[in-house]
Amino acid sequence: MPKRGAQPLQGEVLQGTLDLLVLQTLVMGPAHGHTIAYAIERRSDDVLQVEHGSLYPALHRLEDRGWIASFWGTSENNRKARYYRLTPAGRKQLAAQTSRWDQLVRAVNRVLRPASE
Amino acid sequence: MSWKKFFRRRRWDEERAHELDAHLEMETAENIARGMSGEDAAAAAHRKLGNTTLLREEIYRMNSLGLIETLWQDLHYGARTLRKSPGFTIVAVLTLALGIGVNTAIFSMVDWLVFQQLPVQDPKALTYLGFIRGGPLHNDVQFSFPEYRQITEECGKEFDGMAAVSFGGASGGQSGPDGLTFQGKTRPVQTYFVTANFFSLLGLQPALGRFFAAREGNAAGGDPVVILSWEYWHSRCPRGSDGGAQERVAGRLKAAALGRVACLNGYRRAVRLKAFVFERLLRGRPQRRLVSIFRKIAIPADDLFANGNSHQPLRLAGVPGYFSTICSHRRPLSNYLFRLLDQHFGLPSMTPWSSNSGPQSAWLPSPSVRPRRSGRALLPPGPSRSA
Repeated sequence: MPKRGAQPLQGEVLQGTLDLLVLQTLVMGPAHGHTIAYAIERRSDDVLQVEHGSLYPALHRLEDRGWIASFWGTSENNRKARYYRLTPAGRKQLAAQTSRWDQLVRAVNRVLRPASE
Repeated sequence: MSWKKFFRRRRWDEERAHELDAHLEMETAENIARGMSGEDAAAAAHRKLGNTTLLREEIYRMNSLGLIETLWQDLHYGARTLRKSPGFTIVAVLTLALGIGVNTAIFSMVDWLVFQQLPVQDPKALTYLGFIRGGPLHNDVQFSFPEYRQITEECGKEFDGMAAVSFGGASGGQSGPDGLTFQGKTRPVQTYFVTANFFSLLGLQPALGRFFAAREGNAAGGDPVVILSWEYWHSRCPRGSDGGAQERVAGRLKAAALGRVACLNGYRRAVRLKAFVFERLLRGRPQRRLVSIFRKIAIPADDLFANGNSHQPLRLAGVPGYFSTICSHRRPLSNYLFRLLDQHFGLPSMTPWSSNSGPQSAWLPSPSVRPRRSGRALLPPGPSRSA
């Protein structure tokens, strides 16, 4: 039986980060996958290049956990597209993950620059 | 979504395929807007998104239980391997079969010995009384008939009732097998002698005829009555191949048995016995332990003992009067009873001990005590002791 989810630690961290970014993007309102990918890239000044392929499994996972919900809608240029919106549970999750992210950043910073603290 | 996702994998896959297609269309359209040619735009969109089949598979796997998915393949592989090495297969199958068989057999026996309750009305209220009195039959000698009489008189309030059972014939050891003559044929049987109240005390109903009446057995030789076990009844009533014939045979035997055609050991100078069929206590269920207690035939014990055979050792079975469950109250009951018995029979250093399984037993180990041989035959000179 192939092991699933047993990726190296770095992958885990990145995966969690992608979840956080997707949730944060959806705070603005419902969006479809394409928009989400570009929104993340734009807002990070193109530093964070979202691999479009990895976005969809992430969306599926988030929906499976009940943090986002999806529906079919019509996109800005009149195409059918699957839209995602944040659920109340997702909103809570976003708050929790954001504070955890802040902690992580602070901790890493403390390690990297002990003198500046 | 939770567990439901496992049953909607195909639908989800279609959804995701549509979604990825939509994504590609959008990306292609944007690429064209950036000035790419149509083909280049589509290729770039595909490159950017990655392998859509892989993506769909990844999502599909999220909705799957890996174990079940691969189980079928594993089974196939196992079957192929077994087919390739038949020797190993045979040994493995035999080992498994033997192991399972042995375990089943052992469990059946333990079940029969320990877990099955006696098929009587209130098996938990049943208590066996017994004394260990030293001598060669040290844990099987119980009471003489006069003792039984005295105990029921003195300790009557302790019990709903008290009945006595004694092995006869085949299992008694001293007299060899009994023979029952029935329709002109004599065959050995195992017999038990019981007091007249035995069946009513256990709350049993006969399948045919009746059990002993209360007055039966009071006068020596007055009531030549036997009760046949269901097992025995059927062993002497050959089952026909078709149900109709079997029923006819059973009907004839029933008529014969309820008349006076059976005769035990030429009992009472061949006065014919009344035979009644008992057991079939729980409808449709074969007898289990009870069969081993009175396997073949029961005779009113009073009759036997009043006839001068008072040395026959007896088993006493009593139902405590005021205890619904015996587990919590068994010990106090035993203590009180043994105190009474101590007063009347002079058995010192008595320690009650209770067994957990089967009919509740209360044994009284006092191996150092020699039986009193004098007096009113209070103690049973067992068969081997009198020999």
